[in-house]
Amino acid sequence: MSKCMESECNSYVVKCYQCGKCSAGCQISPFMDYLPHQVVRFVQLGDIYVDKILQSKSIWYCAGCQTCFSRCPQQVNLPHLMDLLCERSSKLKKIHPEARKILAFHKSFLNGVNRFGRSFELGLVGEFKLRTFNLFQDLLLAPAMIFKGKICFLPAKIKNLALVKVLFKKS
Amino acid sequence: MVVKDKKALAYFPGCSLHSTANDFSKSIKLLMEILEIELKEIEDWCCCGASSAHRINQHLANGLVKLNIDQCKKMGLDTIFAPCAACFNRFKVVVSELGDTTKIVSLPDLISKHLEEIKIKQKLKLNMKIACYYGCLLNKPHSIFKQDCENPMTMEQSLTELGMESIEWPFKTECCGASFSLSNPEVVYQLTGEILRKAQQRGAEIIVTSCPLCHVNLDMRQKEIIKRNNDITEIPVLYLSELIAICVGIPIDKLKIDAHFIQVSKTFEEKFTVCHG
Ligand code: SF4
Ligand code: SF4
Repeated sequence: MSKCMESECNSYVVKCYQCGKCSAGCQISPFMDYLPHQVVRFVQLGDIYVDKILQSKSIWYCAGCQTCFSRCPQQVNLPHLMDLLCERSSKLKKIHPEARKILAFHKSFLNGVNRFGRSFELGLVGEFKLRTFNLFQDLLLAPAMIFKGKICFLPAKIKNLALVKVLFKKS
Repeated sequence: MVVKDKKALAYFPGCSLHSTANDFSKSIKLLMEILEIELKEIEDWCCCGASSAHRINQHLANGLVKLNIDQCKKMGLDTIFAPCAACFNRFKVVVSELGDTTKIVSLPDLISKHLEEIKIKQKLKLNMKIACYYGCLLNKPHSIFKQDCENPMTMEQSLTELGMESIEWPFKTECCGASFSLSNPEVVYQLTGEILRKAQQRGAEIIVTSCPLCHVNLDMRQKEIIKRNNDITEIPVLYLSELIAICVGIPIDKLKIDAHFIQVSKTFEEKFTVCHG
């Protein structure tokens, strides 16, 4: 990990005393390969352990629901730690195979924002399907959504797109 | 006390209300008109980045929200109304990180603030057992919201004041799986299934929410969930603004409730009775 990000991650985990409360209340934990308190522990241990976490499913499956952070007796901001680890995992291309569709979703979503300034659902769904080769998922819902006027066919492009683009470039 | 000096609110509809949640957006517009609350849509607003931006790019996530806050300031407004719980949460977090003074209000907050006025205008009340569902983003994290994030009561209190009955249940702030709706529906089926089941076990006949992402999972994905769990039966999911709108006399057919996937029953209208006093 880069030094700066490593020290930022560490600043989040130093206070954890491994009580396990975060894992006890995490609804997503059944889908995770490492429990939330283990993620914290591995970051505390550093080195090869961090590498394991960057390749884990857990960081991507975390829903960012803020429950663990709200309950943690040591105010460890676990969802934000997960965000930082995801950002890192994505930059270093260490993504867990089962998490690829989650990243594909985020990328498709943000691509729309980069192009139009707002999310464009139809484009998002299309791009997501192409990225994941998952052409048939939810196809049955589509006609009903169109009928109910829930799908816009044209993206709404904002006027000041340049400002948004600058943010994308800088990052 | 009726809130007198009504200042206009900067309105941040967000991407959902602009497309998939057009039903939510309609009910908000009609309700605000009746309550004479002026909404000024943030000019040329951009997406707040939702859960995607902060997952893979912190700098972008905060920057997108900041653009909207700047825009709001340019319009000379100091309060942003963000009906989508996900946008609301992003704004709250960024404002707190920046130490900005702009106030951010959610739909349940707004309803509760204008309750006296709603009471005066109230014509009907719903006679069904209501489960108020907050989801994860309206009250968490605790460090920022400083309110009871395990058992929030804002919606229940408003509904009680309006003479309606809500159930007590432990799943009101559980996560519905939110952004996994597209990328990993299995997670949603599981989490949302638990929420629907618990609401029904506690006797709820209808669920009320104020988050368009939760609505997608609770409503659009419901039939699929029922197929997988034979102990769950159909239950309509209304937006809080839709329910209040009907209560203050907006005809049901003016709202877009028929755009929901789970239709309210044919006798739904009969479940409302006239309020006196
Ligand atoms: S709840 Fe907090 S202190 Fe306890 S294990 Fe989790 S992160 Fe560590
Ligand atoms: S924020 Fe992530 S780790 Fe924490 S409880 Fe929610 S899903 Fe679990």
